[in-house]
Amino acid sequence: MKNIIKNFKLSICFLLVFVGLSNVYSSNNLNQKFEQANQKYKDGQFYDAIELYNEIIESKFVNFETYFNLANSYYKLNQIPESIYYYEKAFQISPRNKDLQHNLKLANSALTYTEQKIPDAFHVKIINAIMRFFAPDTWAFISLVFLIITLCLVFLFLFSGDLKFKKIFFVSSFVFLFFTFSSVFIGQRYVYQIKNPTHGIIMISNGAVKSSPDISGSDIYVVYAGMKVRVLSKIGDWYEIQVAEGNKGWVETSSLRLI
Amino acid sequence: MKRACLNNTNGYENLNRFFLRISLRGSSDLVKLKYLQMKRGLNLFLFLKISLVVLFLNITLDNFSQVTLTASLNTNTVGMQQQFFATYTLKGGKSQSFEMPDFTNFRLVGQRSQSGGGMTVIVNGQVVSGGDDEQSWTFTLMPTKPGKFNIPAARARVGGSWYSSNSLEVNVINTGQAPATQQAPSQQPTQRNQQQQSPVNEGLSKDDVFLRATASKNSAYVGEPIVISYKIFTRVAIPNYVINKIPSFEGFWSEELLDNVNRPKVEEEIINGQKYTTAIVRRIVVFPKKSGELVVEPLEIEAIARLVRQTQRRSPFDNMDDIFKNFFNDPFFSNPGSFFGSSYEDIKTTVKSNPISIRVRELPMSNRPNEFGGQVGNYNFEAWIDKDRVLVNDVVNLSVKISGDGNLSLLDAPTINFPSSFEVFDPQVEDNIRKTAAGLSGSKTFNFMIIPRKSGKFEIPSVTFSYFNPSTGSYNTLKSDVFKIEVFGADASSQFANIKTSDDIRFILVKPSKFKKINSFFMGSFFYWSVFMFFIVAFAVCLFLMRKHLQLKSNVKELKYRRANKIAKKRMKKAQILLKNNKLDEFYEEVSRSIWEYLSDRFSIQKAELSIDNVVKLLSEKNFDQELLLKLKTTLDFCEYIRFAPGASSSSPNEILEDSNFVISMLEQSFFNNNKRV
Repeated sequence: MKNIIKNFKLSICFLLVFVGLSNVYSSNNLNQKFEQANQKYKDGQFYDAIELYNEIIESKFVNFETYFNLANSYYKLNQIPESIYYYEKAFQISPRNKDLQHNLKLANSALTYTEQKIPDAFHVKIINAIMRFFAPDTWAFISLVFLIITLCLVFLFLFSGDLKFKKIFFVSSFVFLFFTFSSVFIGQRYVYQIKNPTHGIIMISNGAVKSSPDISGSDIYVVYAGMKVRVLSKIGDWYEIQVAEGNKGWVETSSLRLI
Repeated sequence: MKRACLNNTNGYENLNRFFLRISLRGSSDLVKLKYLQMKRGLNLFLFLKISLVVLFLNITLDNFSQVTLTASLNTNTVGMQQQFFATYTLKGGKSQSFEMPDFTNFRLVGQRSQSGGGMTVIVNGQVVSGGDDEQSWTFTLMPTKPGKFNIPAARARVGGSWYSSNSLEVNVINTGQAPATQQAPSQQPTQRNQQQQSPVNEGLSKDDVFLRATASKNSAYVGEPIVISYKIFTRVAIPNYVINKIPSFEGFWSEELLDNVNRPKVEEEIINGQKYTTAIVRRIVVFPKKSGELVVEPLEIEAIARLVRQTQRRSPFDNMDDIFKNFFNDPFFSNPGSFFGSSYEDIKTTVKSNPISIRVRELPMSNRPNEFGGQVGNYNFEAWIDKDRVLVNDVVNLSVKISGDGNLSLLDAPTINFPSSFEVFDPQVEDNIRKTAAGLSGSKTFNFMIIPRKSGKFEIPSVTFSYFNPSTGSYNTLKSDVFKIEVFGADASSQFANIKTSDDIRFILVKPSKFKKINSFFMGSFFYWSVFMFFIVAFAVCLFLMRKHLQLKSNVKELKYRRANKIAKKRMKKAQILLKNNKLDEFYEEVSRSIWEYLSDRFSIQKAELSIDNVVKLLSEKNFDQELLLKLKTTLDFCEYIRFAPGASSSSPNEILEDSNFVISMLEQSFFNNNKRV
């Protein structure tokens, strides 16, 4: 019996480490580039810094700090839409970072138009708020921890002799089962949202929004650079967007960057 | 201006000059002229001709009585795609102007006019005299659709009155057989090809007129100016041309440079041993907006080529003078008689320039200054203030002048970090941009009006301007001095002094976390679900093992429970044998062990917990008879006692054996009774 438990623990450890290693690409090269970029930033050579940070992103291996610093560099060059875009990217990785929240707020206030939050339905708002509490992979580990707790409680429930404890274990195992499913759901939803972007940042100044996905469509209203819009659908080279006021329309794919 | 024009003679330049003189001076100079000509030793033939012309100057033509204008076709029935000619012949007079009929339903391919060998002098654009009394206009036509069509009358004006021709009827039949030409009308082939195949127009070849586009450079940086020139090369006279299609310059910011488009400078060039007249029709400076391989579409112009009939022994080289005279000047068909005695043909031709592809490079990111605003070129930069000692609320002007070659139109005002107590208005911009053949150059001045709202000594940090110099391939940054301004007087009320509390972004994060692959998450990955399932499977295995273990454990208990009495009896028998053999020590040990083991197995008591007190307590809890328990206790006590103090026994071993047997059987009995009760 003891041997089994020991083996079990070992294999879990092994699995976790293995999973961790497969996802993490620790490269000296990237770290070096990151250091160089930071140095350029400190020296005030923001264009060079941007180039280096972009090289890191092009390698397909990123972290929160790269996005954040890149956004800072753009901000310093007063290229606000780009800066907002990368702050939003960083926000996806670590939504609760205080520095990020501060900088994103400043970047939004530097826009020529007043930023308006895109309204969400109440339950969506709550789920999103909970979701943003942790990064997707943190949710993954949380759900696994909940799963283990749930299983332990079920075990205890089945094999405890005392009726009073049995009751407690029964109820609490159900509670933790709920927690497990919730965290799995939230984490999955988070990943889905990142992989299937629902929002975008307008990158062109004063872009006319068309009534139809066609260049000849009439202009309905205007969107400004740095504006965050909801992306509803895509037809050809056109995105259907919705702005904070609720108006819908079509813009060319080149004028928008999905986050 | 009075002008004399001679066309029938073959390229005698001085003659032209003479006629000019003649027409100016009139007949009174006749003698003088004759004298002059004699003096110059011109031959008699020429002399006679000249005299004849001079004579015409003084003759008024009143012989218009039999003027006729007749229209004729070379064929009345034409097939589609077949050219035919409509000829209008004027007899008995010279036409001052000719009004061509309306050729709807037909396409006008070419036209020529011919006057019958005589001489005409035009004064003030009027036909003054004519030689032979025949003049003709021939139009080459192409049907556009089958059917019967009517060509209305043409009109010619002779001596103040209009003469109409007869109208013509053409039957266009829909046959694909076109013996003369092969072109399909829908394809709109170039006029050139048509002329080559046409029986009458043998003149215009591909090499006669062409348009060439050249770029000042074929590879450039984004924003670098490139001058594109469109040059027309011609060996024939081009009286007029229209630009059909101006390129859209997609991907470029463009600006036209030539403002003398209507009067281009004419030059001569020799290409492959052929002399061409050239002129630049358009010159445009473009600035690429994006990197990559950008293509400038061709420019298309529709030119009217005037072919002079080859009957006059003229080579294209001799035509040069006419080309110069007529190049771009003569409006189409305005004075058909100007080449009197000669014939010419106007052919519409479309010429297209070559497309140009330009490789545009992205501006380098490394070493790009932060102030860089996309300016590419070569610039100078000045910045100054008009005063450095002012009163509060007084106006200080800060001017920034940027001059040089480049796209100044797109130049934005430099950002200047003014002290927060300065009120600064949006700068006034003065443009002074010149368009030269080499591109755009000039200067742009930004005037910032500054009003200090507080007294004190202030510094405006140096104004910087950065540009990219494509010739060196590097960025240059120009810096002004730091401006020191001393402000006197009482501070303005606080409403003006809006002290900016600029909140800056937080500094970059220097400690990187682990770099993870973009959009690859542990959440929802195969590994995640494997781990998830692993836990569940492991749990199930645990459950199974646990169950099995418990089952096994309970089986052992059951077995022991069932066999407790038997074992006890076995042990008692063994004890009896030991007693018979007089092995007392072993006997007592066997007895006590049989009792203990019985208790342990029967009542599932752990061996460690086995003690007399424990057993008595446990059994009394299970409602066993107190007397029986007392008996059990004394028996066990005695066994213990006799083992450690042999010989000191008050009762015989047989008694002990009996007691033990009795206790076990009684316990067994009451145990079953108890179980039955429960």
